[in-house]
Amino acid sequence: MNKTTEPSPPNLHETNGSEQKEIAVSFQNITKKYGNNTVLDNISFDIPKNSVFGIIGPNGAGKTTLFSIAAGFVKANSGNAHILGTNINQISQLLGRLSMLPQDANFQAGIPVLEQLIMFSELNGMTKDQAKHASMEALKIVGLEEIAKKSARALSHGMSKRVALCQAFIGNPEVIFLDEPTAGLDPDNARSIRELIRQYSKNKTIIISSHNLAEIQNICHHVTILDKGKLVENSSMEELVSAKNIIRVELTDPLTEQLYHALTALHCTSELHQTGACTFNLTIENTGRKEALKAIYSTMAEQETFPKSIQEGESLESRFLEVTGGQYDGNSST
Amino acid sequence: MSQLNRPGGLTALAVINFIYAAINCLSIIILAISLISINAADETLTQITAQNQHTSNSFKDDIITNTYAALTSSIIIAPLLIISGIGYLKLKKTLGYKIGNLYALLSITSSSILIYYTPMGFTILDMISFIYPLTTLLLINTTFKEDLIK
Amino acid sequence: MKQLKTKHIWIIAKYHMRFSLRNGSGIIFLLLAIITSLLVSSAFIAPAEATANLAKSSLAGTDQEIKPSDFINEIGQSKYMITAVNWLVEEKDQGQYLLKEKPALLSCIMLVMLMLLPYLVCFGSFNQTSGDIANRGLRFLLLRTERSNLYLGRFLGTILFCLTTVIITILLLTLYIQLKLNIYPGTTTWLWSLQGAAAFFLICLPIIALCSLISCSIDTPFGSLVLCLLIVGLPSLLLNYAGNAIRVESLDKLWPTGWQFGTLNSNITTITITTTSLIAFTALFLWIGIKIFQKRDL
Repeated sequence: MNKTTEPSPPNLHETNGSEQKEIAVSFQNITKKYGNNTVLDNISFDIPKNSVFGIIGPNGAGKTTLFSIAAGFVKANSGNAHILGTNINQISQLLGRLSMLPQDANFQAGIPVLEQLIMFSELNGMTKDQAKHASMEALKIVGLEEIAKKSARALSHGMSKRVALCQAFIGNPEVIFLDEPTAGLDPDNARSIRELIRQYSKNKTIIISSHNLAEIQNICHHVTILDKGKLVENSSMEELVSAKNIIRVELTDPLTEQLYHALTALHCTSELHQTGACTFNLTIENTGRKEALKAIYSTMAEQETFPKSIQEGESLESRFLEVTGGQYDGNSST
Repeated sequence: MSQLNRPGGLTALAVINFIYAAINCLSIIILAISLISINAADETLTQITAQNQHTSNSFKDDIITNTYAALTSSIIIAPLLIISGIGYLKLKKTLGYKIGNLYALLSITSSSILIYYTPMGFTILDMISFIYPLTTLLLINTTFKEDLIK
Repeated sequence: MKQLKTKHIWIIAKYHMRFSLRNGSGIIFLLLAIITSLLVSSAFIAPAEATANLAKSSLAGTDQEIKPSDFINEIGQSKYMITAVNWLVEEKDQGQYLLKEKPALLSCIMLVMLMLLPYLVCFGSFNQTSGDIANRGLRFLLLRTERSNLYLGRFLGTILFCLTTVIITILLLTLYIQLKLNIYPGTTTWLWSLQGAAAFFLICLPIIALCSLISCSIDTPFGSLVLCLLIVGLPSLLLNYAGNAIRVESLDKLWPTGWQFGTLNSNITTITITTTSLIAFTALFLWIGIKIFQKRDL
């Protein structure tokens, strides 16, 4: 971190047109190197308050490193970061207002989970009784009150993840970083964690990193894409996937030439971009969404071709691959 | 699954139990050999003069009594150490908690009795025979109580 | 903020002591320290008891009264005690002071324990942070408190645990010597034990601080233990050897173990200098350790 010049905290209110948004987290020119390898290269962006913010990127993009810098686990080579107006060098001043689910941190083996949660809560400023009550409540929320007396070593991967998530929510923090909260979980556990995130996203700023792009697209209001340590995209989800004028279609059979010409000849469509043998994006204009969908459906019916799915907006995955230079085959990996 | 739930301290207690059990087994062998040697030394005692006969006989009786007492104590304590050690590893209430308490109390009692009747009385090395049972008693009734009783 | 810092340090210390017992390292250290002290004590006390018993039995049946204090000189001037003290303590004056003016038995036991304690302490303090750094468990704590609080809390917890062990050890020895042997005046024994306990604690301080430093630099507990034992012992040997080779006295004072026996001296200035040096070593190792801990990635 640059110690000699201490930049002033960022303006916590960013203006976006007529709407003034409060900033919860601000990264300014963050650079991190390990030897000759630049893991993060001059990263700057802000995270609005009370939003669910996604940070995505290929493996090795620097997501976990950025989270680690925000949490103070790792020191950046240069740049600064502020959370709720506090420099991350004085992170302990936030005391209970910031929490994190680290990607690969483990509880102490052999010690009951409840005791460790109580210790964390006491450090957050609670008394012993308050800490015990808050820890039990947090375990109930994640449905794990029966394992309170078990040691961390005795828990399955899913349980460990839920307990780690539970410590992130103890004490009602304002900013929560979740590093791959559903990684390695079965669908049922992953779904319950997503529900928990949705439930607790009100009045909190939640920052999530995940490889599950459908999950990010469903939950997050904003998204940042990192690639090889650089920030390649930073916008709201709506802007990124251009929900308003793109319709994604997946057919049961490959797109025929006849259907292609029929769809492109429609007044409401301006462009057809084929993304796979059975998938394509239609850019609509000159009309409303409903009219466009009606016209598309009837054209496909005339051609006796029936869609497997029709969704509004581009998929986050296709935009992600486009931005990071990857190849999109139209098949979602999630 | 219970092995994953077991704190490292209970594993340490179990290992120390097994070491103590091995030492007890060795002492059983040594004490048994001592008894045989003492009885075999009967012949030489007849050569001692009458003046020293009384002293030698009472000394010999004391030694034999103490050896039998120590042998009995070791024979009882050794299995309790092994069983309670297994109980700690498996986190069992009866095998671990109850037998562990029984071992500690019996060990303290037998050590006290042996020291009382030993001609030399209480020595500093005898303290070692109290330290581990007391530590066991304290730990399994406080730190590890919930793990064993559940 | 200051109140909060103290509270955080205390919370971390309290849980570190509790968890070290549960993890087993605390139990091993406690038993190792007590059993070692009892074995060392028996090496000196058993011959003394034999001497006393022999004297008593030789006077049995006579009207002569045997006072325990009659044996003080015999015990203090026995060959094995003089050999032990001369081997451990270089100054002859200090040797005489320890054997004649202070309870000789306690002096010998305390000298040997002071020699062994740095190595024993390594077993109780090698894993202050290394295990949690390896499994990244510290990350849950780093969000809730400053790194310095974490470091000092773990250090304080280890110190308190060691202090408890030292107190138990000295208490057992003193009670035995006073109640069973009863060869020294009560006040003298207890005061000398108190000074011995202070000496034990003072030599533990820089060693625990050094182990703290090593523990926060190494990511494996076993590696930390090995390094602790090596770094505590090797410099001491090398400095002693170098000092003898180049004929420079007190070269071993460059390392904490060189000050082991200074707190059991007759000269108050020596005691003061020794105490100050050990505390200075502690402060130095703590400062370096905190600097490393604050800068390293966790």
